[in-house]
Amino acid sequence: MTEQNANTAAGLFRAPIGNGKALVVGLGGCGIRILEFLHGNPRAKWLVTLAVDTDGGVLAGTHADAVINASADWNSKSCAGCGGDIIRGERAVSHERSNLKEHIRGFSLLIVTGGLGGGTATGGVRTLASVAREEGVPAVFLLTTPFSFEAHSRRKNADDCLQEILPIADVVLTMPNDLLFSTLPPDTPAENAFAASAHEMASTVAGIASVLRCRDLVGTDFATFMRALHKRKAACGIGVGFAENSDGLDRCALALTRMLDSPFLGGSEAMKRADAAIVTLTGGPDLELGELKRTLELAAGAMPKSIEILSGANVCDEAAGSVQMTAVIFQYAPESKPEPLSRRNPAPVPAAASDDRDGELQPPFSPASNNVEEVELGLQSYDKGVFEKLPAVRFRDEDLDVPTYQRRNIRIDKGS
Amino acid sequence: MASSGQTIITGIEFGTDKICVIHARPDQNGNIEVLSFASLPSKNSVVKGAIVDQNAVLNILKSVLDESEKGLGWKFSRAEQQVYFLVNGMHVSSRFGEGTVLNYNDDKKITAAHVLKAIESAKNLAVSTDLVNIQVYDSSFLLDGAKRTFNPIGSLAEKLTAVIHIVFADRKRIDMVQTILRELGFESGYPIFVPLADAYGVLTQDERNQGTLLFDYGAGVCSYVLLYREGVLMSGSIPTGVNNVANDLSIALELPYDYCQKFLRESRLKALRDEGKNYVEYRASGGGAEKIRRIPLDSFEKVMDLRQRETFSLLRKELERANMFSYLRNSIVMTGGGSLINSAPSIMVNVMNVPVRCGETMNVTGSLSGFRSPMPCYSAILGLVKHAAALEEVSPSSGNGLGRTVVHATDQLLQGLKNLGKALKI
Repeated sequence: MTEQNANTAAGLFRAPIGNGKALVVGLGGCGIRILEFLHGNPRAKWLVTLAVDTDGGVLAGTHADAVINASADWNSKSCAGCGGDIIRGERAVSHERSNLKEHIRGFSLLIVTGGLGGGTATGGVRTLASVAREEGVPAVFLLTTPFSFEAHSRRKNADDCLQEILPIADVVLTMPNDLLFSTLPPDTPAENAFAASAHEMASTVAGIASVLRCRDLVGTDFATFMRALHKRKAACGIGVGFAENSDGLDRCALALTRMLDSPFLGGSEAMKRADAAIVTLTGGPDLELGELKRTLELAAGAMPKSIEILSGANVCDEAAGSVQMTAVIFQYAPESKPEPLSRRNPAPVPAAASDDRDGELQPPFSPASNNVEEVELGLQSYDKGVFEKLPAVRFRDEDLDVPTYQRRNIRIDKGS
Repeated sequence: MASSGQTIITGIEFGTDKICVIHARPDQNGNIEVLSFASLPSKNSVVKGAIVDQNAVLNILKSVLDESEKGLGWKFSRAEQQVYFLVNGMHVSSRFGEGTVLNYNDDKKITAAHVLKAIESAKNLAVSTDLVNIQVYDSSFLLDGAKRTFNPIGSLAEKLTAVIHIVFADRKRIDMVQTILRELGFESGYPIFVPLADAYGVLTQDERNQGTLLFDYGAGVCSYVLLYREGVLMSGSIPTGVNNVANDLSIALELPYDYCQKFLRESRLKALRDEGKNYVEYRASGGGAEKIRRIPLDSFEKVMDLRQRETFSLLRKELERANMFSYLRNSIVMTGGGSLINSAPSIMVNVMNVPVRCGETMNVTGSLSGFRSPMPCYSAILGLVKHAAALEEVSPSSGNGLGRTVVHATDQLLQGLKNLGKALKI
């Protein structure tokens, strides 16, 4: 092969996927905080940002490239937030559907980030997933789940939302805020803890975006993520380590160390619990074969042998003179199966016995396990509408005449 | 019979939505000419594909038959007429039958007699007396218990095992239809399972060969058949359909059921989205005052998505449970009224990860003015005529009653193992 041919072939690997343009949507207050940290990140300059919130006050100070001020009240167009009400959040974002479509159109990758549990992000992610699917833009949802000390309702909202978007979203990466406890000392001021969370999320967004932007030299790309995460509920830990030539002789080892120290990876405890990991080395055209081999071997060595590791590498021109190690570890929830109606709303169970609950999963790092599990009282009634007077047709232990959304406990906005 | 001397086939569909009658004439090339067609709403006399009100069905069918016969333009004796009817619903089930025969011939060549004997043996399944065998299709053959083949005649083997697909239905329900037909002057009718009828009209030969799932998305029930190398590997039903989607919308959004049915039938979600709308304005009147409600389109999408995704996931699980998913190598072909719901194919692709197309019956000519809904809504009854024509072609005058279906299958096998293979060739 001539040198010219070799260069042309190498160029093919460096060409970004599609037009290489990625849009990061910050949804809700937490999402916008992440965008602000992204704004200050030099490695995220190529990313286009869009802030979407129901609170006009929060949007006023944002540095995002574009802003959508969604109103939960269609008539008055008030922008005072949705007060943690998911239905209002959903209605507000769904009202901006056409607007969102305009913004998303033309991008090769969409990253949606936000914090689940509140109103805007929890209510709005489904609309964004639907719009991305309609526009044919691959979408990654990088979402944090509430701290374990936050209200049960917030955690339940986050959990319900995840169940709902998993089947329709391409890739959902959920990171429990609790992972921050693995690195932050207990005397850290609360404000700083939340800021640290947003900062780490911003680094993670930039890291994941660069991994997915490049064509894969070895292994991991968007399809790998989709295969691993699509439709399967998983708690994720993400670590990103970055090093430049100026950092020292072994830039790859340094990037690996920084990646392993990332708070959102959750430390060795999280890795022990993980079912699988995707480890990617991203470098510029100067990335050498020896570096690649050594680093991926070291990364695999740092992970427990019991987990499935998907290693990969990619190259892009923008990363010249630097390397980035990215690891996404995930712990799958047990195969979730809808419970038969007769077994819904079970009696309270002690926390120790609740580890294998369907669909419920512990974060990779859980600092303080709750001893008491809150349960709902069995007061739910089901409406079968036109099928009410007909004999029940049970199929695989379920009465399919009961609306699916009722059996799945999914809230529907009836409008106003 | 027909004035032209050609066979005229009468097909009847007892659908959840409508009861239809077709009079059609097949030609030698597998095309069908529709001579007359009539239909009337079934008005809750059929629920999830099964007749629940025999008298109501009798009255509706009488009107529909009269109208269709009037459209024919000549009179004939119903007692001499070949009648086929569609069966659907959870009372229809299917099973594999396996039968083995030893080859004592010196040259060890498998002959048609071996094949017939193996199939006869495979049909001897012990099933409840409540069930009746309505159709038999060959699936594949095993030579010496190991090598799978689809045409064993001439192969060398000491042992031949036939694997056949048998469709059963509830005896009482089939008897109920036969009673209705007798009351209307017919001698008896021959039942065909809906997705198998669809397969005759909708699938191409390549699709039938390469591993294709035909999915009939009906009003009350969804039914399916998986075909591979022109053999039937699996068939069944899932007890939900378009009516469940409409019912879910009606309950979730507090809207009248009829409004929701219309919303689905007219693909209003897509139409409103194309207009750039984000919500539906619904005028509700109550207590003398009219109130306008704004309902987000995302809510409609969410409810529809949840129900359809669940239905398609159940289908996937059924295939996986039977270890048949790996045979789904080509595509899924959706038909029936539900396939016209705009989001249905994309959700199916998302759930099954297999290409999906919407199909309608091919090569239909003649009087089509009676078909007032889009053609996929009639793929079962048109396919029924094609299926019946294939059976008539193989065995134009065999016995009567339910035994005939079995006789048909046997005749087909005797005529060169062409039961499904030949019958499905268009």
